[in-house]
Amino acid sequence: MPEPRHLLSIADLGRDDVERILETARALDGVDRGELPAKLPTLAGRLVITLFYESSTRTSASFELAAKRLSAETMSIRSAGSSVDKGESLKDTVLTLAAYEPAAIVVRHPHVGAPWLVARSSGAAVVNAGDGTHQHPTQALLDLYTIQRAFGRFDGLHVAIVGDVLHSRVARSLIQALGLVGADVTLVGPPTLVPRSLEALGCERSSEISAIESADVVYVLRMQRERILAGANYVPSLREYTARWGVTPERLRPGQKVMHPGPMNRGVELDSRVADSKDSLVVQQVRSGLVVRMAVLHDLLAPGVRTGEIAVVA
Amino acid sequence: MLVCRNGRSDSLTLEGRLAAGRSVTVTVRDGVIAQIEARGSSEAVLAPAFVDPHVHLRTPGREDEETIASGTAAAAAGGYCAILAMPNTDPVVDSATVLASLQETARREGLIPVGFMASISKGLEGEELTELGELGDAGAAAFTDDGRPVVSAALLRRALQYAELTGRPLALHCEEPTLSRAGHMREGAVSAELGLGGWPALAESVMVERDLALAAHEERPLHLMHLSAGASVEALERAQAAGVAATAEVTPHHLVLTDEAIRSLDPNLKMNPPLSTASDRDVLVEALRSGTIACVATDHAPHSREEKDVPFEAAPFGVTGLETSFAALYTYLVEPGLISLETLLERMSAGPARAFGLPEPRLEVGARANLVLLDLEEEWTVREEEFRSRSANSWLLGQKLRGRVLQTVADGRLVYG
Repeated sequence: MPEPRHLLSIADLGRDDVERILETARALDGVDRGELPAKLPTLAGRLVITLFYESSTRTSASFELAAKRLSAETMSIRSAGSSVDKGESLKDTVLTLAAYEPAAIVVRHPHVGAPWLVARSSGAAVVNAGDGTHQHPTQALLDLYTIQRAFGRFDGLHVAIVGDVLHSRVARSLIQALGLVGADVTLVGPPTLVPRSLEALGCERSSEISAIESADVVYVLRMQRERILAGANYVPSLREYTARWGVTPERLRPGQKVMHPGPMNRGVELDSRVADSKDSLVVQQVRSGLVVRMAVLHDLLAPGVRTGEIAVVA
Repeated sequence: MLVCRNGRSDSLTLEGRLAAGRSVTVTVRDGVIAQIEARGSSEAVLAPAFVDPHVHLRTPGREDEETIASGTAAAAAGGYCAILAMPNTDPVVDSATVLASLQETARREGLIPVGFMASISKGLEGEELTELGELGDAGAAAFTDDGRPVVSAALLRRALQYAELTGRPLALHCEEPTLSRAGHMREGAVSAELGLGGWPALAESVMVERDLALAAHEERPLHLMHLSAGASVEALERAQAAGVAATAEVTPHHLVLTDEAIRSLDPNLKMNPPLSTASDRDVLVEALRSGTIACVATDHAPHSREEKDVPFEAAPFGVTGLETSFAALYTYLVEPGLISLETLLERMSAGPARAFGLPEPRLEVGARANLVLLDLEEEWTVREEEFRSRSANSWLLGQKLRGRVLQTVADGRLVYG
């Protein structure tokens, strides 16, 4: 049996991999026809397990729906209420699930490196749905897809990522993905959360919110409350964060697109008026999540099968 | 202070060539080198056996990970004739009672001599001094809170003063914990990419600077454990030049690997201090070559398979090293020409012995026989099944190395080969 392919990190992909996945997503997307993605028989009879050790709404829901739209059987395991509560290790949980011979395991875990352990311990294709502060590759791909739909290009596009980049797996994956397709990235936020060490990621950085002015896309990260808790000292208060780095209508030019991976803290990192404006791509991001995750599962589990050749399930 | 086993000493003959090239045949009688003749045809290198000043034997408390018997067997297989064991066990070696019981077990089960360090603070809690005087009288090899820094400068100062009673050095794990907290790897370009909490080089070097300043002020000797930062080496050089009696050690993994390796997220690459950047690693290699750092120490830190078979971020710190240290350093430092074989052999034997006031293994008539015979040609693959250690959390698993220990003589007895 050939080694299963995985999607663990954007760092493992080349530009052609990204373009192939985006192209598959376009083929699956029914939006131009005013439809949701059609149901395809691609993964009929195969099992996709979602294994989530952290809370999630959109990622877990969209993976499950994506698998179902590809006619896979799905099984969804949450750490709460499972044997994890009885102290079962990740490895043993994975060995248990592997006994059902899943084609793919989609895993989210608070610890960096967890999907690599899952890949070592099971014969399934593994998709990283977020490991600690490291990677969230399908989020980056769906963001690229969203940007591509909005602008029709990547080359020369300028994206400002605003907020807690230091602890953001979304930012890490997105920076790499934007680099692959030729977009420029500026990181903006408090010097403690966008420290000099992040220059290694190959981006410009600024602690002034005015640096978003020249961006085509302002990508706003969630400000996690634990960074504000007493003793953490990343920012002195939520109030000071919002005053300096909150994305408000006054700080944006008309036509600048705004993105957010969710869940949003309205009124903290993002002003409600911006979130609900016509320049907000937040809802499109959620919609992209479904087709891109379909495309990823398709790419890993049915490589070489062209989406156009698949008959739609009636 | 080394605990030896009073074994029967047979007559032994070892044949090899010296690192300098001359062929010799060495006869050992009653544990002592009786004769060295200038003859022989073996291509293997015969040298003074190794001394490891930094080993975790996990006994008492975690005998599932290592025992004195398994740890000393691993050491013998690595070419060691003596090792020093760390006190961060459960219970901690912070009383003469615990120390005496370990010495007794080592006498019974140890394949090679073991020296036991005692802790500087009771329970390693960094608050109250242990009874350094009594522990010294009972044969503590040195004092350390290894695994943890001595956070309180005042406590370290008192320990430096009081340890004068014992004539034994303090060995320090240098880490400013408020800077390294939540750190899983060295802060830098790779940690930025992997999103793992960074443990900056600064967390080590600011503590090294502080500890050296205290040692200079008190005019007391100090040993810096497992250095990993270039700035620490620079501070050490300055202190040595100013006359501070400071010694230091470096591990094989810090000499061979860099933080780049962690991209694989293999939990067997997680240790404290963490792997350094390439430029810091180059400084460490040069310091070992020049002698600023006079000791190779494995920091052999066994962990059970289940503890390490977890995501990188959740894994405990520590890797094993006793059975691979010579081959790793021969393969990655000597063969590429970064240091000479003679220098490596010295830094693995006389260097650590001198730093801790232990008898230096010598290849000379009349010396106690502590010898290692090394095949420099043999290529071998590091395999879990072949470890004598109870644990297998080696950073070298599956890798091919050149240079192998053929025989080890420790305290006059053939203990390996």
